[in-house]
Formats: sequence, structure tokens, C-alpha cells
Amino acid sequence: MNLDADVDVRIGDFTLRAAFEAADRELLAVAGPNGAGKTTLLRALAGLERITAGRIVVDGRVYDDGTTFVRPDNRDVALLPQRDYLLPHLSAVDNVAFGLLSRGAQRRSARSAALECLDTVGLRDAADARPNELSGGQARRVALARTLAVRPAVLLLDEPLAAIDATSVRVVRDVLRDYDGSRVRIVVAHDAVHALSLASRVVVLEDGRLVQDASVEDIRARPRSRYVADFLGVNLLHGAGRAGAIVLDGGGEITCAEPVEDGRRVSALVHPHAVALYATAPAGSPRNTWRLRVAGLDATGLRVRVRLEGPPALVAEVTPESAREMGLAPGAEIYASVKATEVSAFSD
Amino acid sequence: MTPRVGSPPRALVAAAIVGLALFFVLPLVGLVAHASASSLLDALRAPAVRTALVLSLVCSTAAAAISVVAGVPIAWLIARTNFPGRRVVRSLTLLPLVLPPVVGGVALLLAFGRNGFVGRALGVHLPFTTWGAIVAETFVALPFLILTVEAALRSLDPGYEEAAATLGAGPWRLLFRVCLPLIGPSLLSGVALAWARALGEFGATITFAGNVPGRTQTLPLAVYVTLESDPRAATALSLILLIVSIGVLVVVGRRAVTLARLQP
Repeated sequence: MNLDADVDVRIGDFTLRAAFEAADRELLAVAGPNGAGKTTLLRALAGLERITAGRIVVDGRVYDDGTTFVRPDNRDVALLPQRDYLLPHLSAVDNVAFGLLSRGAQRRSARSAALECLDTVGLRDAADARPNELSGGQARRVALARTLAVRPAVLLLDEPLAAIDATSVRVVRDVLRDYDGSRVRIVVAHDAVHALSLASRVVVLEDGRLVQDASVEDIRARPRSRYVADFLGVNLLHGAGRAGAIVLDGGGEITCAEPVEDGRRVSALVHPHAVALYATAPAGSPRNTWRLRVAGLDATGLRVRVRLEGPPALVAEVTPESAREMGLAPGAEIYASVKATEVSAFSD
Repeated sequence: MTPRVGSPPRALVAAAIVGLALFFVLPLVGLVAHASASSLLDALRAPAVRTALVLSLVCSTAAAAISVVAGVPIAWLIARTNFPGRRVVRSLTLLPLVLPPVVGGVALLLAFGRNGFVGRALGVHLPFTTWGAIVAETFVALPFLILTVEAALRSLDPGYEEAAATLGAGPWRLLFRVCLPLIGPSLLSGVALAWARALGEFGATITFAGNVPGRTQTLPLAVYVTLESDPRAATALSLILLIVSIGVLVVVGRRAVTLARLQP
């Protein structure tokens, strides 16, 4: 085990509380909506914010426990901030060499190592360019090279794939995946595809709280909040058991295959592709059938995601053909149905 | 140029023109018109003038250098830390801006003079020495440097230093390799302002350091003394001061602009 973080940070009215561990060789994604505290978490790990309670321990060394505080430059942690912050008065290669020189490397070896790192991100030719001569994607790659160059035990990246061109996204993702200089890599991402394509595990923050810390598979199967469900594209309905069914908090009820104990708080997970839509009332089982209004349609690749107004509010996934056949449009009233076997309930 | 909505009010333009004429153009015209090339050359040939000129350059440059060494740490403390009494200290450093220089000279005399409490305690004797002139000039020049550097430090995005710190840069490296290069243009214009203020300093110098030719008689003092005996020479001396000031401001100004272009 390399990183043990139990972090309580207060900045003005905002409080972040999160506890998690990261094991050797792990690539962890931190996800969550804007303002959830993702950047604050990275800043605390890097030593740019002091924690008010808890502890940050890397390889058995206490970095911060409220009394002991190790300065950022004395931590084996490096942060790639969202806005890169390349030094404008230094060339690309000098920017990459900066951390190495700061950590005591000789000028010549720092320069050759920096050139090698620039090569890794495909920018050896831009070694002498100043940051203002680089495109946004190139600047991000130089900033990534600069952070990787110091081979920190804990590598922190704040939205490394945000707001850059497709080529740079590919380069950054590949480099991050193959990079083995750090034992723990933590990537903040609010784009689900990026987070899930990179990480083996996701820590989800919402409003300063850690709402879920699970493997990618686990989080897809059992999202613990509306955000996580939306984030990974699945329906998550909260409610309490009554007479075997689940009475939903937002109104209506849903039945799953296994009966739910009375009064038990549960979450029901329904994959959008399991929500069947009909223009007329379907024959057969009356359970789990609702007449709902279409709130909106989103085309995602070869599928159309249909947002339905509750109760219960659901997202359904249909093919463009069937959307056209049914005349799905915002405001249209349709029937939605879910087989009980497609509803998985788990205790909160 | 970005197109603006409408044209400026005529009265505003008129006020600007009158202001420029009254306080900038006419005085300079007066100075230049009364000087002749021959009197300028005569003045430059006079050993006393050359001595005063060299002394002025030495003293103002030394004062600007000391302002950097003393001013940057003060500006850094005011901008970056939150010690008790920070606002009082900030006001204190700006005091020489509003204080009549003569009063400053008296204050320096009472502290560092022959009978001043510091002078007596340490046995230093600054009045009537070139160091005295330098101290007097630093006293009035320092606020300009502090003001400029403090403003630059305040507006500097902390992200640069934070990113550098997580890469392993300690406080000194952050200061010399990140912070100062980033505020370079402001630092340079602060130095230029401090230098120019020191070059023109009169009141504090004459009060504290006296008017000793070759030791404390800088050009402004020489101008004042010569004005009574030889107005033509005084005009020539003034012109020399003007030319030196403009020359340095142009050189430093260009450099500051070049540096500013490197900033994001």
C-alpha cells in the first residue's frame, strides 16, 4: 500500500471529507460534478492545502496529519494542474528540466532526461519553443512531460484530457497508461469516457463528500448516487421497500425480482437499454409500466437516449429507427416498461 | 486598435491638451529654448559639472540597487504574508512618497547623523559623505520599487509557484527562478522609477548629506547652486539631467515591453 489518505479540508464555507487508499501500480480516477472538491483533494495530497483533520501518508511517511506538515517541494508527489502553468520565460525543454534541477540533478543529465521526456510526448522538435509558441494540446503535453520527468511516487493529474485536441488526448492517454515511473497515479476527470478508459478504480466526490470508491465494473453495476448513475449512464432509483416492491422517493413504485423487506432503504438500478418504450399500452404484466412524458432526446453514437419525466424519472436507450417509428419528441406521452428481472436492488 | 463606441467628449480632449501643454510641453520647451549647444558643451567641459554628473549617476544607481535588495523582500512580505500590523507597515513604506523630502532629510539626520541615536550607538557618520547622499536617495526611491513590485506580486497567479513547488522547487528557487522572472517587467519598471526618483532627489540629500562638491553635490544640487551665479550654466545642467533621464527611461522602457511580450 502506497497512499493512505483521510482528508478533511476546509476552505471558507466548503468542506471536503474523503478517505481512500491507493495500492501499488494503481491508476485511480477521481470523478464528480464541478465544485465537488476534486481539485481540492489533489491540492491537499500535493501539499498546496493543509488538512484540518485526518492524515496523508505515502509509503509510511506522514505528509500531513494536522500537526506534521511536509512542504510540497519535500513530498514525493507531483501535480499537473488544470491550467498547465508552464514557465513562460523558459523553453519547453527547460520547463521539463525544471523539476529535475529542483530535485538536485546535474544540468547536463537534466537536459538529456528532459529531452527524452519530450520525446515520449512526441514533442522533441519543440524543445526550444517557448510556451507561448505552443498550441494548447502541445502545452499540455509539455506540462505532462514536466510532471512525469521527476518520477514522483504519487502522480496527480487534474483533468489532463480537458480542452485539448484529439491527437493530444490520444498521446496523453497512451503516455499515462504506459507510464510506470510512479506507483500511484490519480487522475481527475469529469468526462466518464476518459475516466473509465484510463482508470481501474473510480473515487467519486459530490459536494465535498466521497460518495463512492469502487472498481470500474462495480461502479457501473452499482452506482451509489444520481450523479454516478448519470455519469455512467444508468438509472438509479432510491426508495424503501413496501409489500415486496420499492416505493420510490420521487413517487411511483417499482418491482424487482427479489422481494424487498418492508421499510428497507434500497437503490434500484435499471440500465437504460432495459427500459422498453411503447406508443400504446403494452399487453401483459401491468407491473413496472408507466405512462411518462418525453423530456428530451440525446443522440449518443448509434443510440438515442430518451429522458423521461417522472415519476419515475428514467433514461431509456433506443435505436434511432424505433425513436422515429414511435414519433418520440419532447412532450410526447409514451409507455415505459421494465421487466422485474432487469431491476437490481441493493441496500443503501 | 479596438473600435470604440462614439468619440470622446470634446471638453475631455481639450482638458487633456491644456494639461499636457501646461505641465509637460511648455516647461520642456522653456528649458530647451534657453539652452544652447555651446553652453551645453561648455558645461560638460567644466570638471565640476562632470564630477556632479558622475556622482549623480553613481548615487542614483547605488540607490536603485539598494532599493531592489531591500525593497523586494519588503514587497514580498507585504504581498505574501499576513503578519499582524501588515497594513501599518505598508503605509509606513509609502510614507516617503507623501512626506516632504526635507522632512525626510531631517528624520534621517536625527537617526543617522553625528548626534542621531543610531549614529551615536554604532559610530557611523553618514552626513557629508557619498554614502549619506545614497541613503537619502534610497529613502525617497524605495517606495516606488516596493509599490510596483508589491502590485506585481499580488497580481501574479499563484499557480506558477504551486506547480513549481510540487515539482520540487524550494522557497529560494521559487523566488529566483519563478517569481522574479515572472514579475520581471514590473521589477524593471520599479527599478527605473526608483532610479529616476533618486536621480532627481534634492531635499533629503541637501538636508541630510549636505552640499559638498565631489562628495554629496549631485546634479540637482549643482543646478540649484549654479542658478544663482550662472543661470545659463544651470540651464545646461538641467538639460543634461533631462537627457540622461529620458535616455534611461527609453532603454528600460523598451526592455520592459520586450519582457512583457513573453508573458502569457
